[in-house]
Amino acid sequence: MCFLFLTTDFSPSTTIFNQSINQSIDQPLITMNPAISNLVLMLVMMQVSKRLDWENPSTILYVRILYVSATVITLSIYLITRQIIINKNDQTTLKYLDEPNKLSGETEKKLVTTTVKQYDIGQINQCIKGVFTGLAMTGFMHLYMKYTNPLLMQSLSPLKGAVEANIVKIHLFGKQPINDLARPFKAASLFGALDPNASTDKHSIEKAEVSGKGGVKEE
Amino acid sequence: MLEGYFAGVQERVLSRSWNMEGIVLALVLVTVGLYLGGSYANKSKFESWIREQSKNLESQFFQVGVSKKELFFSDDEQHYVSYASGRVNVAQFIMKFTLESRQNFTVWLMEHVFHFFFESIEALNDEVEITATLHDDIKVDPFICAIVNKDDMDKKRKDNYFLSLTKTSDSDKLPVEYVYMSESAEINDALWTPELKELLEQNVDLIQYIAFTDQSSVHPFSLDETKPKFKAYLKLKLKSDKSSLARTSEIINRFLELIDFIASKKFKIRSEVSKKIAKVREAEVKKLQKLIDQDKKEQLEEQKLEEMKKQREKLKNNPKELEKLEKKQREKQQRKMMKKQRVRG
Repeated sequence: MCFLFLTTDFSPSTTIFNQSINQSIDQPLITMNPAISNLVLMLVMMQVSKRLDWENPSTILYVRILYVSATVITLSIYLITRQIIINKNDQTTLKYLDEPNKLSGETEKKLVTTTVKQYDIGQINQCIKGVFTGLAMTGFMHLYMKYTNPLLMQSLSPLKGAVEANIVKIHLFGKQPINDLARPFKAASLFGALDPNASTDKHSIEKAEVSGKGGVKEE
Repeated sequence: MLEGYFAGVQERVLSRSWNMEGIVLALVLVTVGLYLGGSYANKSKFESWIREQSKNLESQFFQVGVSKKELFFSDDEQHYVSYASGRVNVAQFIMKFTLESRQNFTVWLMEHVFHFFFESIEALNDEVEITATLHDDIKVDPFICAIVNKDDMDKKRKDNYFLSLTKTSDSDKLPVEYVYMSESAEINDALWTPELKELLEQNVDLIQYIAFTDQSSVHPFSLDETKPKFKAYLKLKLKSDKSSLARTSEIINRFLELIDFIASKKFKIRSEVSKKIAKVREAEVKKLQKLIDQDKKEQLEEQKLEEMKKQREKLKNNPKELEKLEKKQREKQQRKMMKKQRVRG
C-alpha cells in the first residue's frame, strides 16, 4: 500500500496535516493502535526520505545497509521466537473455529483442533513468510525498477511489526497469553473486533466437532 | 581418398569445443545418479522394515505377503503395499506404505520449500498405515475410538471421516502427546490398560494413531457406505533403525491384542452408549439422504427444462401452435405461484 504514497509529492496544504501528526509523535507509540502508529511511521519516513540527498551514492549505500540489517534483525527475532516455541513444546490442546475462506467459496466456520505449539509455529511461520514476501517485493522494486525509496520505507516497519507481533510478545518478551494475547489471536481491525468470543464459543465448537466433514478426497 | 576424408573428420572432431556436450552429459549423469540413489534409499528403508516385520508377522499370521512368492508389491519408488491374512479374528491385515519422494530430488526439494509457503502443497512422510478387518462372523457393536498423536491432528481429522465424527479430549490416562478422539469415555476406559499408556510413552516418535471404527475413513456418498463395518487402523512412522524396528514389532503385537479383546465377548458396550452412538449415525444418514434427494430434484428439473425446449423446437415452424403452448405454460406457472401464495398465507 505504501508504494502508492511514495511518488506522491506533498503540496503545501498537506504539510499542515503532517505537522499535526508530527506533534503527536511526542506521545509514546506503544499506547497507539498499531495501524495508526504504522501510518505515523510511514509519514515520518517520507519526511526523512525527502531530506536525504539521493544524488549521493553513499546515501544509497547507507540505506542499503540499513535495509539489510533491519531485515536480518527482523528475521532473527522471528527465528529466535520459533526456537523458543520448539523448546517449550507446549502440547496443550487448542480448539477454535476458524473464519471460512471466502475466496474458495466456504461459508461455514471450520473447527481447528491443534496444540498450542503447532498454533504458535503456524503463526511464526506466517510472520517469516511475510519477511520473504517483503524481501521479494522490495528486491524487485530496488534491483529491477531501480527505486531506492522502498528500501527506506520497508526497513523499519517490518521491524516494528516483529516487535509488535503477538507471538513475539508472548515468547520473547514473556507476556502472559491473556486478553488480547489469548489464542487464537484476533485479526487486527481498525473498526474493533466483531465478537470476541465467536471463535471459542464452547457450544458451537462441540457442534462443529462431530460434523463429519472429514475424509473428502479432492482430486 | 577415403583416408583423407577420415583425417578431416578427426581434425574437425578434435578442434571442436565439446564443453556444452560435456555439461549436458554431466547433468544427465547427476540426474540419473540422484534418481538411482534416491530410489535405492527408499527401497532399502522399506525393505529392511518389511523383512524385519515379516518375521514377527509370520508368528501371527498364516500367510504374510501379497502372494505365496512375493512379500510386497510396489506401485512406484515411494508407494508400497503388503498384506497378511489367516489369523484368529483378523481376516485382512493390509499395510500401505508411503515414503518421501527421494527418487526425484527436484520434486523433493520443491515439496519441502513450498510446503513452508503454501499449505496446499504437502510432502509425503515415511509412514505406514495398517488396516485390519475382522472375519464376517464376528459382530462388534458400532463405535469409534482413537488414540491420536497431537502432531498434525487437525490434518488427521480432515483426512479421516471417522475421526471427524468424534470429540477430541485430553486424558490423564494418555501421555501428553496424545488425545482421545472418541465417541464415549466409557469405551476409552474399557480399552485402556497401564501397559497401553507405557507403550504410547515409549513410542511417541512412532505411533501416529491407533483407531477402532465402524465408519470408513473416506466420506460416504451413498447410503451403502454408511453401513457399519468394523475396521482397526494403526498408523506408524516408518523408521528402519534397529530399536525402532523392534519397537514396531511390539506395537503391532499389542495392536493385534487390542483387536482380539474387542472381538472377544469381554468387550461390551452398554446399550445407552450404543443408543447415543446410533443417533450420530442416523443424523449422518439423514444428512446424506438430504443431499441425495437434492441431487435427484435438480436432475428432474433439468429434465423438465429440456423437455420444454424440445417441445418448442418442434413447433418452431408453427407460430400459432407455439403461442398456444407458451400461453399454456404461462398459465401453469401462474397457477403454481397462486398455490404457493395460498400455502404461505
